[in-house]
Amino acid sequence: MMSNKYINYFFIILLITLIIHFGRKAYTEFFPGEYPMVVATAKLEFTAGENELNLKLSGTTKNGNIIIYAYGPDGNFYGMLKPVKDLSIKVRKGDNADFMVQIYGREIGKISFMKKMDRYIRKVDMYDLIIEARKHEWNYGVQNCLYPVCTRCTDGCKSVVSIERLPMIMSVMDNGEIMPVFRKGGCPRCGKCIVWCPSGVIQKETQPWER
Amino acid sequence: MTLSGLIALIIFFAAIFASLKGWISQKLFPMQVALLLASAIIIITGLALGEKINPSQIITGTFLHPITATIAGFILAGALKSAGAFEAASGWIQKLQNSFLGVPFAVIVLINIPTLLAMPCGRVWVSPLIPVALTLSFELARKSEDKRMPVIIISGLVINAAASCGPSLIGGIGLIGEGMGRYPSGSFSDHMQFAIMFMTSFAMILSKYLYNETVSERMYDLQSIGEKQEPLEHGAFSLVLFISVIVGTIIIKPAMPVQTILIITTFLIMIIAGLGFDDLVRGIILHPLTAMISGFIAAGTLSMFGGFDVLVYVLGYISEHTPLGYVGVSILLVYLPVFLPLPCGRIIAVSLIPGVLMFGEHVAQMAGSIRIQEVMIVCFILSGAASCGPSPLGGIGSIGEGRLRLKSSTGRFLSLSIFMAVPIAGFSVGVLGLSAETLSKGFLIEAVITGLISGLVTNFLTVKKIFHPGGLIGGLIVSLLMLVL
Amino acid sequence: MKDIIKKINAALFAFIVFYLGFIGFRAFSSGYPFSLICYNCKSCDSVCVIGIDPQGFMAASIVDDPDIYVYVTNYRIYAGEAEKLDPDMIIQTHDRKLSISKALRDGTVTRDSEVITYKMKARHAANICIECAACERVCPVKLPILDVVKGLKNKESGAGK
Repeated sequence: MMSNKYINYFFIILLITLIIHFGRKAYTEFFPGEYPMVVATAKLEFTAGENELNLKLSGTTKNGNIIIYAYGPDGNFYGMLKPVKDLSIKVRKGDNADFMVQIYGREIGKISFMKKMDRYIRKVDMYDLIIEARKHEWNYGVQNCLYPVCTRCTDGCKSVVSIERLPMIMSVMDNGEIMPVFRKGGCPRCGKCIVWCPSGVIQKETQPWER
Repeated sequence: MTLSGLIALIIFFAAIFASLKGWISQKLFPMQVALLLASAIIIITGLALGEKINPSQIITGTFLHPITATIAGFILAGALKSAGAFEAASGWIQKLQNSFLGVPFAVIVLINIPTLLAMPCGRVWVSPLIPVALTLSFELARKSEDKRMPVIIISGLVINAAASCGPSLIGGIGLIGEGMGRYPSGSFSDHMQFAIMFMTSFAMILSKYLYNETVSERMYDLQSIGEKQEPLEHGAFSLVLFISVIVGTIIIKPAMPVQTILIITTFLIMIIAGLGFDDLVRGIILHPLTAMISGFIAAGTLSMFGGFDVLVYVLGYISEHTPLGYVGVSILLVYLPVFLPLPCGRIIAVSLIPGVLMFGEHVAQMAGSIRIQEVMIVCFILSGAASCGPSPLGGIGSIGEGRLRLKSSTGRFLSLSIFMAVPIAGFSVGVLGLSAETLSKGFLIEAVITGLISGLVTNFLTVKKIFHPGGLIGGLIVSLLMLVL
Repeated sequence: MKDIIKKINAALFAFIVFYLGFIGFRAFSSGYPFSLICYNCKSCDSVCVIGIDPQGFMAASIVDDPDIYVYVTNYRIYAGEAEKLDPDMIIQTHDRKLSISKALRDGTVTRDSEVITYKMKARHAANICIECAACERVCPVKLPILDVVKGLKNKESGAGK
């Protein structure tokens, strides 16, 4: 039989563990048991100035940020995260892209982030790229969904549903933006995607919030 | 650049330099006290200059991970010592020596264990391995009649352990560089591990030909008294448990802190061998712990006042206004942790990584090769990690010197071995690049070359037969395992 | 060694031990004692697109202070808004890193300029965090970083819960 001193050590450790367990702050979330719906991106009005592009949105986003994207000559998606002020965004010369996504038709390939600490691994000027995209009629615009910065909707889905039949998947739209696409069949209505979406792209089917 | 940052930097470097040179007598004010007093002076000066102080910002400069890992390692070493694991290990080493692989195999495997199974702080391995290394080295010294053998082997072990926190995938300094520089996780590790094998060989050669002091006769007597002790009942089992747990941790990488794993192992050994808390205390060495903590407090204070930003600014100024240029200053920057060896490489390494990335970018632009930034960051981290070896301020080297009762410091040739080995890591990165996938032809070739050269050196130093199979096979096994683990 | 120097040395060594205990106490009192486990490996830093150093959130919970400065190296914000949030926020502009108040005083930026952040207070960084959980996924010890982020969001200045 174990001697008394080890039993004492065991109880001391158990006591400390219980203090940590009950003393720590943990957050519980409540998920609505509803189907989600994907809300389209706000419409865009585009004005080109001297070394500056002004983009006027028809509605804001939940967290005040939006992705501006443009396709490059290599067919890849270049984007940057921008703050929205008074429903408008400015893109200036010297604003470099934050990330690049390889696109194969509707399929999403490798994602590369272009900044290291406080310096760029590769600089792609978004102002120049958007001007080029306009000239060559490549896709460009804004995207409410913060993919690839955020993947919470698909993460929420993967935590509940098996990977072969995810109801929420990311796809490339006709205008080039990458948005979540929802398929009702197989959706368990857990509501995680609704609660976790930071940009308001995914909302309750029954009760969408006003943009 | 701020005035308070500049003054803070001057006070910090003055305290370190004065302690290193002995101008602040260690008998009056040990380095820990000197650093704390320097921190206090910096804070008072900052307050006088009207700077805002947030004590929490100082505390954030303290890295708990290496401190807690070191404490856990020391406690485990105490348990192993009390359970008789070291005596069991000495018995195994004896059997290994008598096999056809012989002494070189035992030596090369033993001294490379810290890097092979890299922990977040080299002290975790130094505590359990030094007694075994001492037994082996004294035995070898008697057989070969080379009184420098204990210094040779212990120097190799110490520098290997010191540098091992660089490639450690359990919260090592390399991971910090990979994280901040956005490199693939684990991509620095192999380059550093192979360079450390060379560093170990260099340290052993340099200690043989450059270090004049030999171990006193009294140490031989003390060692033979120790060896005559009967092995304890649970020694072998405790040793097997310890090795299995460490190897399992490195392979599986569980989502559990390594400190928890080490403490659970300690408790199991306590229960098996019937140990108490007093037995654990035997393994704890307070000096390196207090040295690390005081170093972190000083670094946190310096960081709060922008002292490291001033350092980067000064280096930038020197690169633009002196013939050294960016290339020359980059080399100085890479070796800066070795010029100012602190008890933990993280103290300087983490604060200067943004500066190294910036310099690397400039040099890369000039040379037209992005790989230069990768070379610089890997070399800087390796030199930072290894710098605690030669540090006279509570570094791992002083543990070896203390155990051998050496009067003169081994710091010079340990530093020299770092200088010689760091470019090897740089060359490896330059040729092979950074990748998380290391089972490639290039790395395989590098592993074979490294293993063979280390084996040749170990053979020469231990048995004077360069092509002895023990060293060559041991070297190859170690280097190939480094590739895999 | 003189008596007084022995006492100074002993006191400062005792301070070091007390300092370690104090850190542990603060981590417990913040409600996030698991933050002591953080490896400081910066694996989380490498995956955050906004350039937040999530290890900074762990540091904030260890010291139980939401006002410590953490790296946020890729977040764009308007200068006026940044100054309103925190005049000492460090921003990057024209290859320099300086506080937003200094940048506005020097005329380097105007209130309508867009700047990229470099360092900001942990509670502000928590507010801009998108909670994508990429940092949690790569953490080698699986720390619940988002719990700390949610706790820091909208926290008033000053230590304590």
